[in-house]
Amino acid sequence: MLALLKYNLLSLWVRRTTTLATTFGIALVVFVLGASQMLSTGIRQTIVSAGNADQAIVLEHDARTEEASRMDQTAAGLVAAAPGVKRNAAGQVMVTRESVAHLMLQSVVDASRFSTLQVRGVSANVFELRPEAHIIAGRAIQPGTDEALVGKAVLGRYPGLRIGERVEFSSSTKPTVVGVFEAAGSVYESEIWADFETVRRGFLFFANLSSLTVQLDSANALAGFGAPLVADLQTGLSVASERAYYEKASQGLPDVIGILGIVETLIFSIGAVLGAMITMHASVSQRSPEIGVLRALGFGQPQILFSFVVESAALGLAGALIGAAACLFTPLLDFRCINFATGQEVAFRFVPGWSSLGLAILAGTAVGAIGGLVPAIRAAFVDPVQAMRA
Amino acid sequence: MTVLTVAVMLAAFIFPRALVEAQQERIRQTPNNRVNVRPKLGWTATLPLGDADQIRQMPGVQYAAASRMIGLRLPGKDKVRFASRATEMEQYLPMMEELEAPAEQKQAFLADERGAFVTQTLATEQGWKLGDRVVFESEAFPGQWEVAIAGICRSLREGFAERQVWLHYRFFDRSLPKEAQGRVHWVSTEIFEANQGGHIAKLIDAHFDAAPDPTSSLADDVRVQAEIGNFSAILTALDTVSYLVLAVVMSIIGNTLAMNLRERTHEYGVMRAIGFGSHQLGLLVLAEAALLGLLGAALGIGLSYPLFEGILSHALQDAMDFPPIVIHRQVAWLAVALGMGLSMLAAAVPIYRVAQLRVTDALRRLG
Repeated sequence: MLALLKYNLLSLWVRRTTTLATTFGIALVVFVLGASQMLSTGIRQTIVSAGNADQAIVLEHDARTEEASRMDQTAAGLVAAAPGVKRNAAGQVMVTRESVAHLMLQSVVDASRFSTLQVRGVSANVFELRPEAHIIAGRAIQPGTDEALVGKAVLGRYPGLRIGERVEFSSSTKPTVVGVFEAAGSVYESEIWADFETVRRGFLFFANLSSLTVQLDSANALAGFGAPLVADLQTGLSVASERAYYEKASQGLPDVIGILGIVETLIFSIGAVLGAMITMHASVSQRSPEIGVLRALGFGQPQILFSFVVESAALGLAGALIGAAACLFTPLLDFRCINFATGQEVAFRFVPGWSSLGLAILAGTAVGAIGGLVPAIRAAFVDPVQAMRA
Repeated sequence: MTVLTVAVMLAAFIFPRALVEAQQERIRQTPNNRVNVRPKLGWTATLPLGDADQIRQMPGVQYAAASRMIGLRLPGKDKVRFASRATEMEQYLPMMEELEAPAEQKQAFLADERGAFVTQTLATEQGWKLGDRVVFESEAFPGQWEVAIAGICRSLREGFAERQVWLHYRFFDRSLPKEAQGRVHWVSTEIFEANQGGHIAKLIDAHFDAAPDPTSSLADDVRVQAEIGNFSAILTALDTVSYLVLAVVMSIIGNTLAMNLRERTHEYGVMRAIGFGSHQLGLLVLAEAALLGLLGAALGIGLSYPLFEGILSHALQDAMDFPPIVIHRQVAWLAVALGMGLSMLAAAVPIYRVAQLRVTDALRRLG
């Protein structure tokens, strides 16, 4: 049996030009499937990683995003007094208020492109509440001044987004960029951070604010913290764990990409199955004398069938491995796209994972095996006497 | 079977191509003489109705029509989704040449304050005819609105106003609670000179800079470009995939031709022996390749239309509000041209081999 399999695998090598053409097709199937799954995963990770389970976010009650939320100042007092809010070593409540707006900028890299970036007006304690963020160049902003920080994913890609330059929020508000921050690859890295008041002034918040982010004593404190706030209909607040908020914000886009990828893969894999079938058919008909000899040597029909399916599956696997290897290069790509849920542009990464790549490799091998099935049946029914006479 | 393979592969080419092309078509079809004025405070904010009058007085502006999103629904039919606006139609209809309807219907609608202007797609789906009375509810406001279908239009701009209902602004506004009256979500304007949108948008924003509701204006073509720019990474990815698919199509055709050739070496030998030149044989292989590409493309297009525009388009629209998938004619022609062209290109190696074939060798081989 081993000898038989070896014969089959060697014959792939002998006919390598033909093998290569089919392999290429299967590799592409695997690449498209793998890359789209990786991107889907990457998008979820980028967005969801911005949220912590033990932090809560308070928004206006019918606002779906921070950008759409406007609360008045009384909310800040209510939230600070709510149960379950953690205090830091200095005894201050860990609550940070933010004003979030969108800013449309023309790309420096591609002038035909306009992008909507999220601008976050932050308070002095922002780095305490968002420990994943830290400055990698320049310095932090001084509270109360017209200064801004840029996330490293948007640095230099839009006018004014370099240290020392000024970014235009409105005709009268143009803060100076003083530093660059990173935030563990999360969605924050695609934002511009400026002083809370600067954003309020530049984007006409009047006395309003967008969100309050709260460090809770623990993730379990959420219910106790939120209930009294939500019950206060006068102020009209909504409370969610930050993790849940960002999980909601990560819906939509990855689904679309996942579905586009799967649709294209499905059509394409039908083509690849047919391609593998053609290759194997030709291979079987050319090798019928050889198959006749194999039969004469005593290999049974099931064995022949099996070995030809294995040959074809190996063809598929080879393609799959090439495709998966190509997928590993996708993290080098720059992929920026709007997040449907929040309307802001975010730089995403392709994240390789065993589930995406494993699925893709499995699909490629299956394409080979299915394509080889019919030709293998034909091979199994080769009449040894007829075949050897030819 | 090769034809089928080529067909399926070309279908795999058509799918991403159609998505990309549809967006580019949207940019091409967007008029370059429109400016859209929105509240600077965001999508959900509103402007006073009076802004439209002020904009109308500004130099360079021909028409200015205010619109309000009114969230109409058909009572008891929550699944039927469409866009609805209350708009200053006497300004809007003259500028929107892309909304095609008989002139007398447009007149009738403008004369009938309780009339509704609807798109053909929606009217056909709901079985509305001119003069039918329809009752709407609104997601945003309490109450019911009974109107008569006064005009049915077809949008000549793809992807624009496919399923939409317009009511007269005055009529709808009057029915609202006092505090909600006189507000609009945007003002659509048409300007006299094409490509001056950027300039006029700046003028408008400067005009309202100090007003309680500042504006954020953009030329329509820029806005569409920006919207599509948001997805450009996805489009680029689709684009790349579509070209990779073509490379695979080519390698499959080349492979098949090469295998055919191997099987028929003997026959070619005979043909050479009875006097066909190697040029003629080469042409023969080329013709075979072209035919293969043509048949594959024809079948591929035949499969693509019902599959993508029909089944898949509906499924995606239902599942996630995806815009309808449209395969443009140029995509179909591109598939035919590329199918044939690549086939012929792929034939190069086999042709070379045929030309090199030595009659005696070929005849010696028993195919």
